[in-house]
Amino acid sequence: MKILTQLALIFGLCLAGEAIAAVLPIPFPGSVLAMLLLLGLLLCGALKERQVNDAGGWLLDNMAFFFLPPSVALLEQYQLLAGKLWQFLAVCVLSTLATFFAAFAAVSLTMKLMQRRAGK
Amino acid sequence: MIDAVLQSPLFGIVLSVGAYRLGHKIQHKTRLAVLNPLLLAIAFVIAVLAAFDIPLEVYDQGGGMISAFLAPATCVLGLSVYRQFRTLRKHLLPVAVGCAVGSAVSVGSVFGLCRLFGLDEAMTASLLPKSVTTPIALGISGQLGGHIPVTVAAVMLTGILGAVLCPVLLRLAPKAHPVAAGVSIGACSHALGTTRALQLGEVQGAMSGIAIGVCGLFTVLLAVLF
Repeated sequence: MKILTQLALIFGLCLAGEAIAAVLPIPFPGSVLAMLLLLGLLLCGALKERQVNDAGGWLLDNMAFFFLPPSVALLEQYQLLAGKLWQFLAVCVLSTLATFFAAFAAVSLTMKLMQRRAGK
Repeated sequence: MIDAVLQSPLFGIVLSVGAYRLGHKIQHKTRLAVLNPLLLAIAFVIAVLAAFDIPLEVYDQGGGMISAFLAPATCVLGLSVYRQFRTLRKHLLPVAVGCAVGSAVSVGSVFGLCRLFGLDEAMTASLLPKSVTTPIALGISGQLGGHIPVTVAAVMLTGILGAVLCPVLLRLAPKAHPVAAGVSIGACSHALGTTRALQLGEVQGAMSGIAIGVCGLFTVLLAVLF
């Protein structure tokens, strides 16, 4: 019953996120809004960590699994990329690496600068 | 008899869990990052469907039920951010700068590379939002006139690439701050990369989770430029 209640609570937050997304003027996903909603409720104390801890932990631990069916479904889409496959792959690989390194360098550099400032 | 099994949505669920468990076992035995459990599970499911000539719709009766948990799984990232809120508040500026730079480089590099490889406008529009989470990426791609299935493929591939490559690259920088590691994983490979970041540590997972939302927001704003 505990897990069921917690799951229903999380599902309810997702529905609220979808409802908010429907009235927003820009495309922003309901699931990310639900994440902010959950964070907000936890921070203001309206929701206690133990009220979502069990189901939440279970979802977090198995997160990659939920991506399996949508990945398998892509199998039927490969003909869309006919003749452009290597370009497609090259763009994905190179820009993913560039983004990773850029974000990593930006965070590290900002941290170093802040440390130097604090040290002065 | 076989039909009775295939008609049940439980078939897709059992096949998925079985494939995922097998993937985990192989990953555990070999400890090779390339043999990502999700990647292996995708290969197993596709192999079984192909070998027994099972249509995708049959698998998706159960598969759809599993995908329904994607939104709740994204939602509970709020829980992991909450657990690490003190870390986030302490490093608010680096996290924001990292997400802004990551989003800009992602959109910029996709645009440049598409030009370089001579890909057309629609293809470029489909690939531009590839580093952000699927729902945001679809919104942007649709707005810019991209092909939705190509965007889904690019987002998934990017996520898998991030999940496989980022932990390997991070091993080259053993002294890297966990906040830097988390933000960069989330910025380049959204929720799928975050699944690996969570395994690296609580801080990495939470920062990666927050980067999904922040980078999504930045990318929506950047996409207005195109």
